[in-house]
Amino acid sequence: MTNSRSGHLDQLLSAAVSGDLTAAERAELDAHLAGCPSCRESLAGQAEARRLLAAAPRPQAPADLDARIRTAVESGSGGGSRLVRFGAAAATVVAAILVLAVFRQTVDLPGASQEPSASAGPSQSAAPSPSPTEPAVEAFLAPRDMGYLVLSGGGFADYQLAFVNARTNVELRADEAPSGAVVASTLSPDGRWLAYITVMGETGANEVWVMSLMDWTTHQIGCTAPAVYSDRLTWSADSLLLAYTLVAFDGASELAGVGCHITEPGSPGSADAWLFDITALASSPLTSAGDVYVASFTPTLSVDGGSALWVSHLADAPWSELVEVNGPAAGSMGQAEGVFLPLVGADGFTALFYRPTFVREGADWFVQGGGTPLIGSTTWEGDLDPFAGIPTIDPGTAGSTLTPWQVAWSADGDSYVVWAANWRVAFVGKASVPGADHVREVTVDLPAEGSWIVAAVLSPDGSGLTLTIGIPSAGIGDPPHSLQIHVDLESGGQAPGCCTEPVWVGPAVFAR
Amino acid sequence: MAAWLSSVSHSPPVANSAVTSEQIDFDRLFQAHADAVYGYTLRMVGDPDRAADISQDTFIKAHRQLGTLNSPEAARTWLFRIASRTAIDEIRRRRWTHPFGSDDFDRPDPEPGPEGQAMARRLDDRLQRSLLRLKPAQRQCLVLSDVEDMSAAEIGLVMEMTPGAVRTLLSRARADMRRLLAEEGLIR
Repeated sequence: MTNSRSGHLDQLLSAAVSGDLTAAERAELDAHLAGCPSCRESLAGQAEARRLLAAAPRPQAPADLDARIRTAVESGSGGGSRLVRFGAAAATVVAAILVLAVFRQTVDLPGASQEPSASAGPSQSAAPSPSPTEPAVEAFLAPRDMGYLVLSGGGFADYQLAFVNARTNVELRADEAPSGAVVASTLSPDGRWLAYITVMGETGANEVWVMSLMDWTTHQIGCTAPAVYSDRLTWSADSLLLAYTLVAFDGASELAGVGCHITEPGSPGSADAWLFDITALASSPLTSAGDVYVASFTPTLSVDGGSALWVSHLADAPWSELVEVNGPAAGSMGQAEGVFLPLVGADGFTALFYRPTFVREGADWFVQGGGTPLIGSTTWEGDLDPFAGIPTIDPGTAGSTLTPWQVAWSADGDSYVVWAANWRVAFVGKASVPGADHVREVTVDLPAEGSWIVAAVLSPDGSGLTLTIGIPSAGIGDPPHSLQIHVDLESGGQAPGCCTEPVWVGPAVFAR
Repeated sequence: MAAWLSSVSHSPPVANSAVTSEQIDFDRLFQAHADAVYGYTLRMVGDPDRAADISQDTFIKAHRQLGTLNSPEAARTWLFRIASRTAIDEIRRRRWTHPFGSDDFDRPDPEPGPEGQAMARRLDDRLQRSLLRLKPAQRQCLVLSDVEDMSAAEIGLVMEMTPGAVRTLLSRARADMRRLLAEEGLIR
């Protein structure tokens, strides 16, 4: 019996226990059970397990839980801090409170170890932006809406940038346009900010930007060398921090006159994690080790309100660490040897990551092996160690271990996509059915010789895939352009997205 | 929320204060779901003290976010989603700060006080030990289904997954749980 057949049967058995079968499924299962004693035994065992759980005693909440909650809320310490158990005395404490405590969220800025570097530019002037405690203004994108940047115009000095809602076709015109193509973009969880990376004309550098989708102001928050694995943009769960990587490059000082005020210090190739704080509208380096690449924030805040960020150290034998970047527990929370760039999914545990080896040649690092993305848990799972991952795609795929594969999750934390710039097949899998055996191949009709996949983005429910395909330029001075392809993963159909005229369409983003 | 705090601070003690609509809503929410939320978090972490802390944090966050609750009918899945995130976060943090003493695989620690000991006697240790050996996401799914009797759609709202993904996760959880309970001698 193949894996997919047994998986389907397991689902029928489980659905039978839940009482969740359709009539057709019931008929299919009954027909199978008639000839499969082991399956009948499995069904009986699972049903008994459910009965045991359902019949287990239901504990009552501690008697003082109500009082503890009221005390925490009324004293204004309701940021998730632990309280000593009060017992019966709590009611008296509550009655004695007379002062109104203003209840508000606070966010701690990065700690003392993250002092601004000498090359950091002046803080941006405080453009109007909503504070965390203001009532929510209607977002530009409704839940599950898709948006994308469009760069149009005649040349590097003449671009216009707009952010488009694909459903309504309404555009936000940015106050400032970059000088080149958008190669990465990520929407904040609250849908109010867009972070993106653009090519800086013909300079050979990239720029990192954020745009407010409330007042469409833009802020350039760094210039970086375009290095593999350096284009991760990741938002904290509360949408207040953006983490990104800056890589030092030759000639950075010459670019200060054209807007590059924030660059990574150190010798070319040196890389560190940086944080942009939207409440202060300011950037600062989180690390100073010179070998750090941003991986991903965890999808939820810690109970004390802090944000935890995975970063990776690029070395012959790379390693990663989880860093709480703010809050009372700021600091390193643990390390994972051999792991590179973990991208944590919505469940907070399952990650897409690599176990590569690198070799350095001058200022550049090259993948020597182990480039195949893996999927696994970031914590102990039964008898498995953390990051005991399995390959997402067949390691035998030509070039698999040496190709700089990229990965992305759908918002529901189940579907994921693996793609590479010059590989015309993208791979879509599900965390609930992991492994290369279950991955689906999507062959992309690349429109022209030399075109490449800029980005692959899954819809929030994993039913669709939107690809951004870069079209080779006709020559120096010819503005870059790209197009979108939408793939229906259920039917397999492919359809063109934006646009009909030659513009650069940035990677798609989806609101949650 | 401000109205509720105001009524508390400028009124006689809580038991006699004029009751605002917000206070009624939160009180009703707590009364209706406190035991279920506590029971769920206890199944998730296996320790009464940690479960109490997680439950406390859950309701504090719920109070703070009460304005985001769309309808009373959505309260249960809304609360369980907050509880799930809080419990998972605590499990993750605990495993990183206690790498060699992961107590999720141990028995629930007996409480020093009489209440905790009574809880330990009421819970079937072997059942709980089997639950704790499941992956956290599987544990969540199974408890929400078999203890809380939630549908795949409701579980999807709590765990922020599609019903199809829930179905797949649940099938794996049931298969693993059956094996674990058999090892404990509770089923064949």
